[in-house]
Amino acid sequence: MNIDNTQSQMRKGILEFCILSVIKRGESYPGDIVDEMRASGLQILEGTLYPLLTRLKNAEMLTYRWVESPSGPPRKYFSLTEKGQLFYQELGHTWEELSFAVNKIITPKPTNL
Amino acid sequence: MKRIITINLSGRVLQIEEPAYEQLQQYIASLRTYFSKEESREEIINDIEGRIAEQFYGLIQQGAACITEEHLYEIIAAMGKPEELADAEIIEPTAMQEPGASFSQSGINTGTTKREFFRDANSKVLGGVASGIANFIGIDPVIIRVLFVLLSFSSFGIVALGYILLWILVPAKELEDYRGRRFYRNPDDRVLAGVASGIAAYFNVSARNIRLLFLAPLLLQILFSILDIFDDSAIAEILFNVSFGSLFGFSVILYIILWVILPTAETSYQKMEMRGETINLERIRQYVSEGGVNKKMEEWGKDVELTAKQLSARVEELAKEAKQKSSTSKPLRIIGLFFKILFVLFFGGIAIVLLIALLALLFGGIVSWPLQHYIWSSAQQQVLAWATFALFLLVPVIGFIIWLIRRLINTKAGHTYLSWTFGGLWALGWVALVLFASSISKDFRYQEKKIENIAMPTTSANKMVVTVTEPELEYSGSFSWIDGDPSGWDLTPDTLKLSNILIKVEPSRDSSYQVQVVRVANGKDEQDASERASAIRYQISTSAAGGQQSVVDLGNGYSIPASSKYRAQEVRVILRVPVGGRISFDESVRSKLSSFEVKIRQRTDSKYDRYDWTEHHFRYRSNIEYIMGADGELKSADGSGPALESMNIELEPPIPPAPPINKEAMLLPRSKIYPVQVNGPSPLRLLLG
Repeated sequence: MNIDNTQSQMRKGILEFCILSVIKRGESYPGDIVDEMRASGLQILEGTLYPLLTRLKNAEMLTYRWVESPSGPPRKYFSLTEKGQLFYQELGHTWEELSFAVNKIITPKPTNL
Repeated sequence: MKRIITINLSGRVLQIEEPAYEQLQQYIASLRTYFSKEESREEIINDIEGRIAEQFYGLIQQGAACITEEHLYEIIAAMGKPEELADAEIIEPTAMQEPGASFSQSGINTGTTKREFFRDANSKVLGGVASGIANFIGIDPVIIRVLFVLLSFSSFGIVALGYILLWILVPAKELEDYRGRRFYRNPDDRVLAGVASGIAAYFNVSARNIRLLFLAPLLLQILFSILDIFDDSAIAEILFNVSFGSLFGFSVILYIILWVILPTAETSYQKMEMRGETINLERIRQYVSEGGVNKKMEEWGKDVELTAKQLSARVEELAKEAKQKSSTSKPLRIIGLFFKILFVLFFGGIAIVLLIALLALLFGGIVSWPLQHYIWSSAQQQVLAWATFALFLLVPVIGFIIWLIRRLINTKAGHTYLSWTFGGLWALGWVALVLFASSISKDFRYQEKKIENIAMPTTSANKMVVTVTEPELEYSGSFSWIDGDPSGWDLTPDTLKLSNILIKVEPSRDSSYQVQVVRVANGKDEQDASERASAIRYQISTSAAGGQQSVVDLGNGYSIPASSKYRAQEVRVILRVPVGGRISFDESVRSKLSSFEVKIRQRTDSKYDRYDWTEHHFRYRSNIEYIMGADGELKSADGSGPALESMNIELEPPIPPAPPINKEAMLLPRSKIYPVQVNGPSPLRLLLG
């Protein structure tokens, strides 16, 4: 067993949820998303973000519009579609279940039962 | 000392050190390869380029004079190298489509899960067939290409036709590029064109071995000639020379084909592919810093010489090679030209044949133009017929010619919509063809006969004369350019007239002469067929000439109204002659009714089935009196006997005769078969009138 591999597997599962969470809070462009994730301590390679955003957009979870940037060409600002909202809610629900279950499992059982 | 160049990246003009730019290009190329599975690869690459440009811009605004390699490494580290992305990949494209798919598949080297055979629209030379096959079985497309070319030569074009068929039948698709070991020509180590050393790199063997393999037949030939081991047998020597000579010829041709087909491994990336090394950025950097040769380095050879002493020797080699290159590029161009000419001859030939076929078709269509009113029985059939003609026959020819012209003047179609349109139209043509054929064949499903008894004048005559007093049927229209004999038929917009009346002579059941007209037609059901049969117009007039003989005056042809269409209508005239009765045919019958035969009925074997009749085709002679014998056969009055052709036997359900009077008359005595007589006009001659 490789610890790196297990770690990355764990991270993989929640990254998509986190990205959608950032976008749900407000229209954002990839640079923002990366900054926010890093600020929260989640390391992410930018290179994984772009294909993911494109796939989510192709699956009609996300939509984007071009917004003029102060420096140079316009940027793509992403936001959730209605389908994406539902998708996010589902994921949020699953996350709550998971975190509850995982926390329960990793908490040591009272021994005096 | 590093050169600084100005680039335009995603719409931003930036100053960048040349080595950094090189690295950037390689990084983007590696991403392109990594994302080749991705549906929206270009979009992702654009986004990433845009992001990098933005970060560059930020750096310059912060005061950087230009973008250096260090800047780039920092950005790449944040963005992720392909091999890192493979590790951190969040979702596989397949996982997106099928929720619940495992994450176990990841990384650059996993193959596609489901392979289907498509033509490759992405990396093609001609139609993408070879590339498609290679993708299907997962090997370098160059191997399939070489096989196609070689087999096309040795099979005299049959394989090339197979290629064209696949081209036509197999749909095209944007297939992912082949990833893995590739055949390249190796520019770093070459004697002639680097073919042998490229192959050697592919198989990871010494280039010398491959060169020897190419030269082996020639070397062996020379060796054996020197040793002169065949001094006794001239035949063995000839055989040997021929076999080794042709082997050497083969290896020369193979070398030339590979020379033309194999690309040169120009970039570091391609050189890695040539050696089959797993490609990632780390390796490329390593390779470049190890002093690998690429085209750019040739250009700044002087810089390299000054800065890196260990490279100087290599550069000298390079300069030498550059000299070599300029001397070999000329024969290469000539060979390229040679293949181009071959290509033009081959495909041009096909195009010309197709054009001729098309013209013949068009011309044939014009010739049979007046006939069109007689072909389709419904508007639907007419539409289908024209759709078949235009879509099934015209579209592929036009498409092919357009493609050929484009190919020859070297313009590549920017989009595939043209080929899709042509392909779609042609598919529609197929549908139209099938529907048209089935619709027409339905019209022939049922055959119906209409029998008309012609009233005979009441005479005591025992002779019948058959004649045609109407003028010979001739074409009355204005198509003066129709070549050949325009007799035997006539065509007007509302009537088709034909003169091929079939005449049968049978023994009569009683003592009277009888004449019947049978009209036959096909139709989609019984009613349709019988209505069509009734619509046939045919006139027979009978008269009694002087009381001694009855004259049957046959019409010169039967008419089919355009409204009832041509569905294999025909007219048979049945003449029934009483036993002992006489019959003769006027010369006009033969000359005016283009094709007919007289048939008499005979019973072949009464032992098992007394109603088993055989019909013998009987070549009558004009103006000769025939007498109906008691055995049901016609004999000429002068005793010479009829010309019987017993070869032409046709069984047919008997047409119900006029009500029989005497039952015993049906039990005709057993006939005797006459020998075949070869003189007289041949059936062919009769047919041609």
